[in-house]
Amino acid sequence: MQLNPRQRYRLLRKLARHRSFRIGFIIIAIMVLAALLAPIIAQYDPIAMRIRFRFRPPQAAFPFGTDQFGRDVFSRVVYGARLSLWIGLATALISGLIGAFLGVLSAQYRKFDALLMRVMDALMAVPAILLAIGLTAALGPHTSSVIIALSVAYIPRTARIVRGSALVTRELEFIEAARVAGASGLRIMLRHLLPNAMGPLLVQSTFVFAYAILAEAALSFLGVGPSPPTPSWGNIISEGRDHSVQAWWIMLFPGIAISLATLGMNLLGDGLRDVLDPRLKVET
Amino acid sequence: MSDLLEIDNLTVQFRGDAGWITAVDDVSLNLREGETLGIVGESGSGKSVTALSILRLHTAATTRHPTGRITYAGKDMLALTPRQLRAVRGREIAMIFQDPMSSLNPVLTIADQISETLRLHQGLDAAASRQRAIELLELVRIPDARRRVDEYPHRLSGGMRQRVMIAIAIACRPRLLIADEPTTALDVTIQAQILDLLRELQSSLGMSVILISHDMGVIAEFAQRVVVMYAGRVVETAPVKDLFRKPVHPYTEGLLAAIPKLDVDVVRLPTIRGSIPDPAQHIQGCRYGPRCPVVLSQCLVEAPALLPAGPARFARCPPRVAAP
Repeated sequence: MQLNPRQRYRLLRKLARHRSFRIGFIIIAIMVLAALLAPIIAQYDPIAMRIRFRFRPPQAAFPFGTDQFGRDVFSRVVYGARLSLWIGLATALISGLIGAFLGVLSAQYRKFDALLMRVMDALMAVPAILLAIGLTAALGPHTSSVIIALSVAYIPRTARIVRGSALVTRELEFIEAARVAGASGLRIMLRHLLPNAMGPLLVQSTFVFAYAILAEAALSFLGVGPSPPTPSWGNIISEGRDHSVQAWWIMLFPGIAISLATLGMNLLGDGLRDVLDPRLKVET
Repeated sequence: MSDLLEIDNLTVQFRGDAGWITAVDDVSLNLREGETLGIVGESGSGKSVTALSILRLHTAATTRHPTGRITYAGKDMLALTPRQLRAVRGREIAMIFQDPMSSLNPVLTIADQISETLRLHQGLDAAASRQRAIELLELVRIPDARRRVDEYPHRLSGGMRQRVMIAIAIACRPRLLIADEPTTALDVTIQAQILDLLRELQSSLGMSVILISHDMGVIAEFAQRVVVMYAGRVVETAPVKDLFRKPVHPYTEGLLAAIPKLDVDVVRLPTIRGSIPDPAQHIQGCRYGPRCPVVLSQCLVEAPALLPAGPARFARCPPRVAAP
């Protein structure tokens, strides 16, 4: 969306007044800050083992307790935010970019559409998480393969949403006006269809962000997520699973972090949707 | 004067559910350099379809032209490659549309949208095209152009937007401007201003103009020559004064009679009974026959030809032309 400063200001003010956006924004902002400032916030090395301190319940020295290797769960959750949020962000960006491009492409070139959308349908027929499990299993348990797998899994939905929006836009007169002015198909796609699909795309991307964090946890739990020792919320839970009876805190706190992040992104997305969708309305 | 645009026996068909539907049937018209041609007719008469064909704006996959040629400045428009076509669109032939509210992209500034044409065809850089955009806005009488140029379409009124559309259309000094119902969506007072502006630009830029309208008043005010279309065919063509003074075709007569007159009190305006026929339906004889108040039995048998009906005029009504 290209806005002039005044419109941007109005839009921001409207968002700031939106209650669920505000709550979501605060949650996500705190998490992002915590992730960025992890070395300052966390008192302990998230990887270093201190067997002496294993299985300590939450207490002043270890607010979230310690795990089976004596690692501070709080430090691990704070450091884990880095990986989990990064996976969410990267997945949202990659699936957003590719999905948006495929979406406008199939709206503009109808011959391409039939083929592309059948491929998307086929991808969507497989549950996203199952597809991601298969892909990560094939690519190996690295952060990058998790990101690629989740991106592939979420591209079809994004492509569909952008295509739907672009199909509406392409029937409007300004597209005809652009053709009359001598614009090529590619130009119409990138300069006219894509910017007009920005609202739904942005909203969808916040949801993909949230789903990706959840999916990372699921993949880690199943053993195909980013591999330890680098902590992610998912693999902290996964490692705590065997000790859940005697040390409930190992799974509880990263679980709360995941829930909060997902909730925050969803609230953020709801707020954006209310303000941006279906048409960007910025009254004068 | 030479012909800038010549349409010969153009037929346009669209693919429908039950085969090809003829929207424009055997239409011929020509336009001289600097001339203003009005095309008039009710909705579905094929006037817009004809105009859109000139720039080949119909979806290629569902459109065909069984007969006809469109020659613009010596170029066979129906045979141009997509690249050649894009070079003509916007640079040599420009077009403005009926609804200024939806003809501008809501997420681009006015400057962006005017610049698009300039950058495509004249290769201007960002600064030069912005400067030119301001000049163009001044040319179409938008006050405070320097500030307006950075605004988004939703801040402008309908009349202002139509002025922006005109600015975009004339940006590359086209030789032909096609105006498809340019004032229909506007207030009456704004209509007059837009028509004045178009007239002024036409004479200062030396453009030819095709004005499509269903409004006889707009045609009378603006056009030099008029083509009346009915059900995909040309039924009458004449210089504007002659047409209004003495219409030959009964359909033209009907249209003129339906204009409200200021000096006569009427309770009910005269109308043309019936409605335009479904293009998918085959009609024997004259297409206007079923609605014509002076229809003869012969009219319903044989399809009438377009015959000369005086100096520079033609009409598709043999009974009237034969015995004027």
